[in-house]
Amino acid sequence: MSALLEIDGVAKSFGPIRAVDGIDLAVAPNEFFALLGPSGCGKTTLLRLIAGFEHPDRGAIRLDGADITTTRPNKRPINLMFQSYALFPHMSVFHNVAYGLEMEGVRGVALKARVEEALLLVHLSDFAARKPHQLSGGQKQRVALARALVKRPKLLLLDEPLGALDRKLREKMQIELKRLQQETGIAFLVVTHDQEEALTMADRIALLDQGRIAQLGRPRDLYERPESRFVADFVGQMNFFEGHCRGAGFEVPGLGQVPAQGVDALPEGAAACLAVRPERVLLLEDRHPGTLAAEVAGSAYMGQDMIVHLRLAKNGMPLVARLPASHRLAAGVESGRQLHCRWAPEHARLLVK
Amino acid sequence: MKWLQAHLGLVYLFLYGPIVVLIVLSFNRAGLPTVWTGFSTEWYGKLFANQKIINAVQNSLIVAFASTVISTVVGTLLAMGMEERRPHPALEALVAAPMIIPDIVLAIALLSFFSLLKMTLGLHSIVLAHAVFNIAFVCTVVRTRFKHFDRSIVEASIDLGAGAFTTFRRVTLPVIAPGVIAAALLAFTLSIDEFIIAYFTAGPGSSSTTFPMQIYAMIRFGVTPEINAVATIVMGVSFVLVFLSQRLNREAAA
Repeated sequence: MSALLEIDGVAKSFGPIRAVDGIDLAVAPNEFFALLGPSGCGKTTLLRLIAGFEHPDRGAIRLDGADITTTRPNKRPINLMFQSYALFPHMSVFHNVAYGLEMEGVRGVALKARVEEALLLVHLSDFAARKPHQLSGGQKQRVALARALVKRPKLLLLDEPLGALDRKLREKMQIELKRLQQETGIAFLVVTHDQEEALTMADRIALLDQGRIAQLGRPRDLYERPESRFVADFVGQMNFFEGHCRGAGFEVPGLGQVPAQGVDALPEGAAACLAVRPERVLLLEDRHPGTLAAEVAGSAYMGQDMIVHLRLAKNGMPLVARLPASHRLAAGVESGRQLHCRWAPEHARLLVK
Repeated sequence: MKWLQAHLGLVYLFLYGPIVVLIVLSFNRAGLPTVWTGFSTEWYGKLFANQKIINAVQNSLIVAFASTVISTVVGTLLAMGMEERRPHPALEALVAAPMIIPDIVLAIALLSFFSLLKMTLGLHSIVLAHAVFNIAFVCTVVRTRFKHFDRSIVEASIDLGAGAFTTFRRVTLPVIAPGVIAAALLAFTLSIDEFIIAYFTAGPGSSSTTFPMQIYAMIRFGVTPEINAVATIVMGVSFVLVFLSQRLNREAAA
């Protein structure tokens, strides 16, 4: 399958700041792709480069094989849904949606039919005559979506599409966006700082850090097989242990050997960081071979889950464990309680950078 | 509380008492400006029969209309450019300067400048002179409108396939229109009763006498009810224009 969008060594600086610093990536047709990263990582600049509002200092952007690096934004078969929605305040919902089609020369009955079809797609058929200021946040967002989708672009860019919505609506719209993407068959490229949003919606994610791709892969890859400490830290919660490879195991100062996998792939004595997800930390009441003694420092009830903050007895290091609320221990993890913990070696990931 | 109200009443009396007297006396039957002798609209009739006044009003309307058109176009484009480019604050202050420079200074400066260029003086020089300060007012009023302007709608228009001109015509201009109209009304009001600058830049001869200049010429022979009638009309028109201008701006902000 050939790529729909190809970004080839693209870089863009604003003065001394390298906003985008050499990025290569490809988006497949009909893919839901997410650009994820903290603020200032360059994701919005990259989005604006693809939309055509900025021009790269070097590198090329291709769409369907055609070089669009210097094509003006109004000539690109790409549409952008703005973070602020950017609805035209003086036009009704209908005219907002019709605007892009009018620019293509669509008129009369055809125009009306396509606008109505787009409004139907986002469940706003009854709101065609309203002005933007008469709509709720969620409705405005759907108008913005309809306005961008009605032109049937090859690629739809979405800048923090759910950022301005409250939590309940956000969850609903995540499913809605996914549905729209599948129904229309248009490739979506979403920019977000919310890792949960990226994990639930995207087919693939590019995690950006300081203008470069830290890791690109499926959500599961990023979550379960992070390649760097930055990725492990940004996506989900993580416990880190700094240490060295010693013999067949991983040694953490003050803790001794801890369970880890992949030590043999690293040279003896190599410095590394061990990453363990909180939900992979098993809590036990009794001591077993290989368990680490720990004291409960506090806990947070999250509904379906319980977050337990522990302090390791040997070196006082903090450790976070997450257990389902249905777990036998969940009801009795008051502060000060002595527990024992361990994790399976395959759930502990060694990171060298 | 009572004292406060009395105080307020006195302030309003001070502000509007003379104007009320003027309006009342414009309907006075007698030619004496200070003694009430009965209601009459004859001075308004005489006013409209006075060819000098009619000519002066025509001149003022031409000047006000032309300088309003020039300053509205230039001032709006200036405001848009400043929103886009964000120039140095000193340069921004310079744009507003003609509003603050005393009229008499501006009048002398413009007259010297026009003579330096060896330009003939007449209605056209008054138009240009009025455009100078009106551009500053228009730019300032339109810029307040831009404070509520979401730049991303311009990008959204381009993203949806519109060119720069279509974006201006269909998105930017309609959104800032209330500000532009308010600015134009203000410019018109400022121009139509402007005296000092017009007096300096009108040049010799009575063909380019504007309305305020004509009144000034008449008043040298004493205040007549005719002048009271003129002032009443001018005030009415100015009041309506300023009221419209403010209303438009307020509605736009809401």
